[in-house]
Amino acid sequence: MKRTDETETILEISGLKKYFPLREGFFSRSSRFVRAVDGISFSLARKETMALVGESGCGKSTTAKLVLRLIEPTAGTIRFLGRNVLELGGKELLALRREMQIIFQDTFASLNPRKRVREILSQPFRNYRMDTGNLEEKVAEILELVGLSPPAIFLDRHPHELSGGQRQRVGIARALALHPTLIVADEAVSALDVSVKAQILDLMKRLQRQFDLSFLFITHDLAVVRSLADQVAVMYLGLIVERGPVRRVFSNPLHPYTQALLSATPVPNPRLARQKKRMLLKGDVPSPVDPPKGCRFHTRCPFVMSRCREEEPELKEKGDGLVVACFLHE
Amino acid sequence: MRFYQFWLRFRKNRAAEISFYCILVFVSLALLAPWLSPYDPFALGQRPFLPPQSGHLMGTDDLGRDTLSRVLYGTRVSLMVGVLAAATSLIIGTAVGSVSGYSGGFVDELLMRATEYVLVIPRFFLALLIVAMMGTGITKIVLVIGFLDWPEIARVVRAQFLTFKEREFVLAARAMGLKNWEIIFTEILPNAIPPAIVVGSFLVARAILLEAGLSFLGLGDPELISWGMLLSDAQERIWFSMWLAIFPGLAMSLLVLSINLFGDGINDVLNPRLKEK
Amino acid sequence: MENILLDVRGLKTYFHISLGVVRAVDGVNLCVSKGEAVGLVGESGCGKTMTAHSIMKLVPSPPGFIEEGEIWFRNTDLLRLGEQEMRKFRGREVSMVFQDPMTYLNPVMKVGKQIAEVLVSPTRDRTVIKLLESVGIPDPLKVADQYPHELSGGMRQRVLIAIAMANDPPLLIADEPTTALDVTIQAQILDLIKTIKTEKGTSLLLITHDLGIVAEMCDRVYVMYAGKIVESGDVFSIFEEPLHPYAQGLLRSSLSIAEFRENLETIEGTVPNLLDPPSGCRFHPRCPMAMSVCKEKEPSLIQEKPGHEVSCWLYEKDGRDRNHS
Repeated sequence: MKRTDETETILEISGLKKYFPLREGFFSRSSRFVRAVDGISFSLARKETMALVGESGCGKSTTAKLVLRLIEPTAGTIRFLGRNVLELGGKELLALRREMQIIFQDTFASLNPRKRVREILSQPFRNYRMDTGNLEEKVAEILELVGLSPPAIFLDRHPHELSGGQRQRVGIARALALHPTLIVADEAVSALDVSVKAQILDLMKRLQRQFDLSFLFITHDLAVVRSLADQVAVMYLGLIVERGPVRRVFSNPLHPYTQALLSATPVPNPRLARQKKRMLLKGDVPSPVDPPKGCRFHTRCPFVMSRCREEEPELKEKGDGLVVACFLHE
Repeated sequence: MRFYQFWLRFRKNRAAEISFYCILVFVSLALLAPWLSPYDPFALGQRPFLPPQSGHLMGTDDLGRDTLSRVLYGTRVSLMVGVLAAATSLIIGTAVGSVSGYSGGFVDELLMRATEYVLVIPRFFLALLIVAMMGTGITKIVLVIGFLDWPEIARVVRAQFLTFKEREFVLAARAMGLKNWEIIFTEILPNAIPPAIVVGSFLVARAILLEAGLSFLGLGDPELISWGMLLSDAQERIWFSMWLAIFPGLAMSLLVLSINLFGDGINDVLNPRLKEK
Repeated sequence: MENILLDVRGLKTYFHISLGVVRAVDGVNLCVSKGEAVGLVGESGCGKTMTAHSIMKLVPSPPGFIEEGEIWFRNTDLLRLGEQEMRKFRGREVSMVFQDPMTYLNPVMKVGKQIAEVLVSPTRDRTVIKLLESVGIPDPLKVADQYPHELSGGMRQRVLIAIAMANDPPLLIADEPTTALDVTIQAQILDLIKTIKTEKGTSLLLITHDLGIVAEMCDRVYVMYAGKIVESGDVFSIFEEPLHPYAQGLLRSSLSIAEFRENLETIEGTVPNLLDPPSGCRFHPRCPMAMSVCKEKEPSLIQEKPGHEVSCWLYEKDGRDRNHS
């Protein structure tokens, strides 16, 4: 991908794969795999937001966990801040982890129900043995930063005593505590109500500007992508089918799957909605255990050609940093 | 959860609340036994086979010892054995369950097969065998019961670990670079302990019964008075001095029932959803 | 009016829990005409689902009780029907489709049997297989012989719709029918509901938090906040000229793929606790235009334009006087 020289690439992923073995029975050695992520590549610059979109089972959440090395990839490389994440261990990995944090979708599951906000937020500082003298002050400071003010009323609460939006703010505060370079947001606003969603997105945008953060945003919601991301990668069955600048992809989607996703997303505008032509896909997403041969989308594609059933299309450059994997555009 | 809220919710279950008070009474009786007992429980010299009457509220036995005093001292032994044995099981079970659930894979398989093995052993007969071989003595009895009764705890703790280790706050802790032991102790264990405590409370009741069974067969600690021993002594004379069996039997039934209902009550508070169904 | 199929008046559904009374639905008026698609929108906890459950008389009781109100379906007040009569009503006159089909399908019964169970009068044209076909299931013979867990989420929702439509009820209530589904599957299900509506003339009461779905599916919209209807009107006037500050905020903060917004506008604060709702207008603590009267008195629903009602002091020109008389 072409970029101007002043932007620094912080994350570079190439040929990343993750196969999960299928447990088929007691003591059995499994030979079948769920091909959750099947060879994806992309890169992310500082201060930039990349969105990974796709429907459930496309491998986007697995990618998030791989990037943070919460699970080990089957193949591929992850370079973060110039270092190969997969080769690091011990102290070096710990140091690198400080630079990348994660925010989750389920605000209940992402906070330990038995800890108070104070304990949840002092954990990162303790873990990195930062000067703990003014720990209380630091925790209050980040609470203020994420809009939970005055901090005093939130410090001693347990997660269940907060609203969904407030819990997500605590999750963001925890991720932000160590001033990371990259924040991976796994469906971070999907479970929130409309008005709260806007608040949280607004907060994330503000924090991004303030701290020069990069976001890797995992979501199924294209409207969120539109309002937040610079780059978007559309995933289908473990592969990226189209990737490029958000404006470009949204105004002129090339891959039929991207087109279908965009046309399926409801627009909160009754006139537009009534004019819009629907592109309905047939059937369900095939199983990632036995993905279709050739182009993985061919079983649902309205423009399928005989070639699509046999050959697998590769990502081809289409100018302006846009790449697409479809024979229609060769 | 705040203690007060916990108490409010616990109190909704009337049976559990009453059981709680019952247990409190038993605990205070055990603690205050030396002061409450009207006679030395070992002292002979009263008239034997006195039926319940003023002065001997529960009568006297064949050697003229006061049954009330003996039942009170028996409470100490039963409660002590119950609590200590259950605590031993709790520690072993929690350790096995934590390691098993957190590590998964081969270690998990191995530990769980071992757990199942212990679970299927007829506990009472093994306890009988071990005590008969190693000799009686309160410490040995506690340890034998404790070492035989941990599998359920292990399974509950393991199940909790399996659920919580995939929770996102644990992932967040890992992303933050926490070490495995830190995650086990600070993130997961506090969530796994409450259900283990519930199972533990049932184990207290079971340990009391097991100890009584051993004593009944003459394998209790001869130095101490236990309810099982009282029942054992009473059995030959049950037809003409029934009180010797009735009072220790009642005490034991009441305590065991209370502990079980109390455990149920705690379970309801911790798993409110189960109760609705 | 003859055309009105469902007319809910002054509905109040409260939950009596140990901490007090939750006023989940607090005086809701709502009507659905024949063949009309009506949307009920609001954020979680605003009482929209409980409104639907009250109409079906499916409120878990205790702790929930319908305290007041009337629910007229044609010429019957559903609240006066006994459980026996109500049971006949459900499925034949009003059906409901839920968010999570798995909890409403029996996991140990084959799909075909579950549909057969609700069919009141099977005929040659009205068979399990025909029904499955009509909801767009490609291999109905196979699906009828499967258990719910063997089906995908979209298929399960189709089965649930088949069950709901088995006896051709004139009114279908859909409670977040696509929230658990992927976008492309959501589009399929919405399309199916639209088809059913046009082919059979079924009226639709659609409950959702997604303004996009409302814009796409509905003719008329009710906006609900903290147990009350704050605004209602036809879909165009609600989306293009929202009157209530909450509706305005909701629309401004909702995201769209059609436009990029540099700065998102938000509604400050959080949804109130219905155990102890704010005095006066329930939106006043979050309202950017709150006046002193908003804290004190509850605004009534007034007709601002034909067919467009709003409950807000900004529009009650002579509000204070009216309240005194």
